[in-house]
Amino acid sequence: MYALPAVGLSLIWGVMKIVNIAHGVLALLGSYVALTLFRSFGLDPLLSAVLMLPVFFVIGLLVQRTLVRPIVSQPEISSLMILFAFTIVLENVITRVWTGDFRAMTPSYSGVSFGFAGANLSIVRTITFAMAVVAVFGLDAFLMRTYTGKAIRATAQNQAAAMLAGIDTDRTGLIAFGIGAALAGVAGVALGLIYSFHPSVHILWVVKSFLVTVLGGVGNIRGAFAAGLLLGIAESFLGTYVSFRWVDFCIYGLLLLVLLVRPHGLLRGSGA
Amino acid sequence: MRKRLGRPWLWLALLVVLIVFPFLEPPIFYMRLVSTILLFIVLAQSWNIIGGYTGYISFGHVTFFGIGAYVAALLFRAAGWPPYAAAVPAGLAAALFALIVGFPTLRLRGPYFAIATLALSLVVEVALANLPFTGSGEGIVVRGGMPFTRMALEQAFYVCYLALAALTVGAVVWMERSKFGYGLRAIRDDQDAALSVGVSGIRLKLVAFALSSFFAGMAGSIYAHRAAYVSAPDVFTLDISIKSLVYAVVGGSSTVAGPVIGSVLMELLDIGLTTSVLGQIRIDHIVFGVLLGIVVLAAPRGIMGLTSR
Repeated sequence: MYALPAVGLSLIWGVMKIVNIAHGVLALLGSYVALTLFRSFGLDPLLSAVLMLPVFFVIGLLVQRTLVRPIVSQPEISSLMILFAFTIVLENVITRVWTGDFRAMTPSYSGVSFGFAGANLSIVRTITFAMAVVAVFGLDAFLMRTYTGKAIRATAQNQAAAMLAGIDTDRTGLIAFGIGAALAGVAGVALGLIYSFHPSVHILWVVKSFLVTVLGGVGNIRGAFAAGLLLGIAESFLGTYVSFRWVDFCIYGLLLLVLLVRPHGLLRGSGA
Repeated sequence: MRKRLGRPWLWLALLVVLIVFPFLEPPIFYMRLVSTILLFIVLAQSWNIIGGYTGYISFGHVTFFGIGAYVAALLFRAAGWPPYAAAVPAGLAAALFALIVGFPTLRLRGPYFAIATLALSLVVEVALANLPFTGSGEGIVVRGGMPFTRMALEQAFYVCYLALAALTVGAVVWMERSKFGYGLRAIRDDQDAALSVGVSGIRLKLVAFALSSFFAGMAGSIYAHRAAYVSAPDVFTLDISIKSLVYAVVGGSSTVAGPVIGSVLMELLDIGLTTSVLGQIRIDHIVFGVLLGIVVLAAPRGIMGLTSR
């Protein structure tokens, strides 16, 4: 379930060498916008997920142009800090607008499940899984087949060489950031359908996305997808063996362990 | 870039005023205000050791503050230790923990460390909130062993915070001039170059992280007695991590005076924002975020950078 948010993070990180700590809070904004659209206009969250794509793409472009680009030549710490500042501001704006209460999106099909091959599958989880599959393979096809996609991969592998080959790396970075933000928005809708959310939950989301990204190899989209599945399964299994209170503890412990043993990921990052 | 400590007599005069202040028996409100500012001077300055001088941004400074608070609470429950006695073991426990987690994470580049510290604060919070000997969700009451009258109590805590703040600032002053401090800045500016001239990278970084956490842990131990009650959700607020970082960076990281000035101005601003009419809409964190953004974009050396121009 964490594949979707992690893919966007992985893309931005791979191409721009920036760890977008605002990724979780952007996703959370997606959750809240979808919630409002659903509550006030009865718009199905799945439709608003489609709407999120262009809207968050533009938000991503704006964030990149106003905040990230001016300091792109400075050490990576600066971009981390500016995005942290953005995160603080956005989280508190969300708290002002939607209050700090726990929220949940409950369209008619939530909580309904169906039997398939002997297993009981929840509709919401199946749909969000399908969304993740579509997003990951769509992005993969985009990166592999289109010119812009190839430019993004080239920039991720070697920025100077990409520049020499005539690729506008500045524009490529911008587009990658936009796509990453668009995926964050969609991921937010998906996460909002599955879990209840509140304004500070984005920290958990970003830490787990980070874990998935590192596990899958930075910039490796398919790796992020596999690692996302792995983490989801690991969480379910842990849940059956230890108290629910310790599940997150084990997950974060896992993150520290992965950082210690395989900081380049279980599967090596392959550029993008 | 390298600046001597402006005017030493000014600092001394300030210290004397701060020492005399509580014994003039001023209104409790002002004493608590200065105490709180002193607490944040300790936190921002200790963050500065790892975040400013070493260049490893920590998003989880609260971890060490919280560990210190819990050690003090446990020592109080087990043996009735007062805050000034508990501060040293609390600081040492935080420093030891920093060594253990710093060993894997400080080998990585900055962003990994930043996220790891953030994750760490979540891990430690979950652990302390669920372990039986830390009182689980109930927390620990830390009350007693301190003077009884209101004024004497406030004075005692004030003195504790002042001593700790002076110690922390003193340590950074020493660091500025020592070989250790030069080594750290060399690592921050160019790790490869520093290593090639014989600076022992990981060792210096570990010492810096432990030192930073030591002071944060001591601050936590005094805070535990001050709050008279320790529980994971109360102690492990992201607020502490955010303020430590923002106060240090806005004031001017990798300077001695920056975090001090940052803590004074920002904490006053925070109190202004939360106690005035503006308090109802609670925009303090929005203002913090915006200020941090402006500083990173326009004035990377913070308020200190503006004055030395």
